[in-house]
Amino acid sequence: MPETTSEEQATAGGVMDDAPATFTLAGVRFGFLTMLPLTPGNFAYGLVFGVLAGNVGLSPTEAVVMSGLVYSGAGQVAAMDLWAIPPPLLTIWLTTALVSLRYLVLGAALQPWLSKIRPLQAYGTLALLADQTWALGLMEYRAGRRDAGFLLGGGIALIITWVTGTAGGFLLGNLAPDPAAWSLDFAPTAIFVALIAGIWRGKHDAIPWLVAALVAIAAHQLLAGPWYVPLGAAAGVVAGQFMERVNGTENLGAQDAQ
Amino acid sequence: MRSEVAIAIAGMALVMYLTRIGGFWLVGRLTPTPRITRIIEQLGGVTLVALTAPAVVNAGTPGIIAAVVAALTAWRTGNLLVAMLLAMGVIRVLRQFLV
Repeated sequence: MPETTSEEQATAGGVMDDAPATFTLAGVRFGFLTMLPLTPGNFAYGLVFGVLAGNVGLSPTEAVVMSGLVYSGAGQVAAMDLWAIPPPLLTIWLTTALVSLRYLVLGAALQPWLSKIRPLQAYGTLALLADQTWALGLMEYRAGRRDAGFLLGGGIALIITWVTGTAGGFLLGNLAPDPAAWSLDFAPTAIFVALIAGIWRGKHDAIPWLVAALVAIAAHQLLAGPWYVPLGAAAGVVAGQFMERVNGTENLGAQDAQ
Repeated sequence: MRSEVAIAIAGMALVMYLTRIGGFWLVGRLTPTPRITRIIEQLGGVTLVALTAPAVVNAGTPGIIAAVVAALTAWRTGNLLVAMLLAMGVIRVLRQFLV
């Protein structure tokens, strides 16, 4: 990343505070540039989706329009699993909702930041919300910078590479590549692992994250569909709350125990 | 574009947009207690962990080793691109030897 964050800037109070926020073109630009190093992985993910979409019979136009409007790797890949003509609409929509439930959480966590800019800017920025913009945005926020344009700029970089990757997947699809041959299949996972390491705050994340991982892995083995995400997340939070009760964590734990 | 495909895409896009704005909209209408606030903060991290962990394990031993490399690199250097490239290189090599 172009700028390193200085420790003393990091707010001790965590994500929630009353500092004013801005929304500038410079912020959009900085967000775009900060996201750029991650775009090759996103492009690769787009390629994988393009190949899948071609395999189930979507036209290049249909796949590109889907990537531009839906803009969700997990949601679109899940839809390709269910795809048929005519499409089973309700099943596809419900699965999309289930896969993307996590965005409710990510959006909620951005409330203290985005509520301080104009509603039109906030709702426009949220249209391009992605896991990557959220995680980089959290690092930015913790570094003490409050320009919400950062989130939009990162989203712009992602949607461009997602859509062009999808189109590229159709060109590649004719060569019938095996994404695993180039380890492209692992690119999204590698990015998410790196992002998760980036938002790691310290030891008190360890138990909730471990519980979330184990429950998600077990649920993924046992249940069909994307239930493993909400189940793992819920287990992680329960573990985190339990740890706070046991340890009386930090300033707030004690007064919260009832 | 076929009309039934257009309808499917429009519905998916609507669902996605509603989930992207829904959490922000809802929390703006509540006054969360400090406890709820901390749960929301914590949920973001564990949600990404829950999303990613099965993909790592499904990639087998090479995937787990590559993930450890990615995590350590990102954590020590803060450079996410290097972390990703190293992990891709590691899994590419390991897949030649481990099945």
